[in-house]
Amino acid sequence: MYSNKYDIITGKWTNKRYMLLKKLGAGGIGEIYLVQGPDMRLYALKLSTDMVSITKEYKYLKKFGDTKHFPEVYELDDLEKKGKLYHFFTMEYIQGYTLKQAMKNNLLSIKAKFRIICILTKMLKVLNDYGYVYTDLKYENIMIDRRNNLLRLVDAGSITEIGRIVKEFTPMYDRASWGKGTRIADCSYQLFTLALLFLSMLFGRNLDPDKEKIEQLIKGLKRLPLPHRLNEVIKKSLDGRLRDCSIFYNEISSIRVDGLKLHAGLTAALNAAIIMLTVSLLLLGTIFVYR
Amino acid sequence: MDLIKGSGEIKQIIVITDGRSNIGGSPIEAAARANKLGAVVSTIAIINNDGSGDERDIEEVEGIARAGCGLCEYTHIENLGRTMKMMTQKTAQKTIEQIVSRQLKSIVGVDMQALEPNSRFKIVDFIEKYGDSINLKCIIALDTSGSMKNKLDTAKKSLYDLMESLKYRQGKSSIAVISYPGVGEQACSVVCDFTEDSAELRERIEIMRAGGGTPTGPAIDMAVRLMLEEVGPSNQGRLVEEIESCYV
Ligand SMILES: Nc1ncnc2c1ncn2[C@@H]1O[C@H](COP(=O)(O)OP(=O)(O)OP(=O)(O)O)[C@@H](O)[C@H]1O
Repeated sequence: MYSNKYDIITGKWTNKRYMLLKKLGAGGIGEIYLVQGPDMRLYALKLSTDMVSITKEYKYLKKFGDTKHFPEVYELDDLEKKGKLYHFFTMEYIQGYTLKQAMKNNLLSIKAKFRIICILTKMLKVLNDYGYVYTDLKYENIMIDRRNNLLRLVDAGSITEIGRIVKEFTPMYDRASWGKGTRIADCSYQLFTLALLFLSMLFGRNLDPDKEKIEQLIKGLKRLPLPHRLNEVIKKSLDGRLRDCSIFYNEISSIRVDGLKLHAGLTAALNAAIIMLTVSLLLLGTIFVYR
Repeated sequence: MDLIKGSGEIKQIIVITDGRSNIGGSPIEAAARANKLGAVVSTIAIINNDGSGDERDIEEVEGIARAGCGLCEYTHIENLGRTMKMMTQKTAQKTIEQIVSRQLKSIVGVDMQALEPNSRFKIVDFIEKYGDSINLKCIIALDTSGSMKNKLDTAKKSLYDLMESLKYRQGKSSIAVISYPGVGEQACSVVCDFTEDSAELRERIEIMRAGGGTPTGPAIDMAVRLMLEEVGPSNQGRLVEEIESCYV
């Protein structure tokens, strides 16, 4: 919608002015910009013509703001431009990178991958306990927040009340696309998305429900030099036999990789710090290699 | 007006095509007629991998959606299923948004857009919940002209997938399928009348074969006739009640 740097977005209701600095991303419902607010601070601003989606996402970001798992959210407002009405909200700008970027050269260690999944499981468990499922879990929606040493989920648009129909999903993580169940939001749906993300990370590639079968993936997993216990947990999650993130967490976190027990009483923040360090070192490494 | 919409169900026509109409009247005029009667007409244009297709194809599909007050999407055949699902969902939501907005205006005298953003939460919740629980009737008019030969199997599978995914909604969802050109010598035919059963749908659409021209206009007219046959008793009153209870 916007292309020019330094364009000004003025809120219709608050009259607050935001200066556009760059486009951060675009997705199904709108576009995300990096802006400078009236207080000179940086914000991320999500702009769309879809009032229902923007209002809903704002509501969920507010609701789960305290958990720190999502960006903190500030203003909800409209924008009138050339006679057309847009809707937007401003939120905390997360400095860092998405898991997609971190995975790019497939250089994350197995240990880091296990830790990322453990932390995500804990985060999603919180949401599940509130009675919600995060249906559109995917690389692009997971950010590594460099400033706060945290894993964060961006895009709360897919948060769905347990028992309701899943509207936002990506086929790769969607159990119905794999022929493994309904598209109703429940805890086993959540675990399926987690298991698929984990598999994709371990294989270091995207998985395609139109070309592959779950059974093949499980076979592929068995061929990886990983403890057998992992196969069982993953298999159970893919079959819908696991219904609670905490069981998944307990299983995954107690698996020893490279002789180190993951659990080890580390806090989520510390865990993330270690991942970040690994990622940063790896990114540095690649820069040197490619130079 | 609102002969079709007035039944408290969402009725939509989705026209799927990979080219431009070349038989019968103008599809844009047909879509305008359909909309006058209260149906929303959307289009999905299948992008040809060989790069064939031109400006005039685009003008036509966009024109149909504009005249039918619906949406227009472009997709590769592989993603047809996903596009159809998104479109049915979005159209349903848009239609409800319009109805709610109109009712709101008549009740409290303001547009939803004129409400301060922080007071929209309840209405948005309502639109979402209602979008899931309202009954949905969807007619898919599928282009089965010669150029669809290699895509028809995928299109059939996508139709089946759509039915499968709609069955998880709280409201009733039924789909009818019209093929154009039709079976035998007909310009178009109803290959499957409204059904909620994906097995039945799969069986019925099996008979579709690709071949012949593209009578898009007549297919839209046929869809409207099929909708009109279906108009049931009005329960718009219930909707008004619910909006009032959520707003005040
Ligand atoms: N608060 C934020 N701070 C920094 N970057 C962000 C923030 N929110 C989003 N982004 C970036 O923008 C991209 C797109 O965001 P988001 O997923 O919210 O958009 P969307 O339109 O909802 O997309 P979709 O629904 O298709 O996933 C993200 O992948 C991320 O890189």
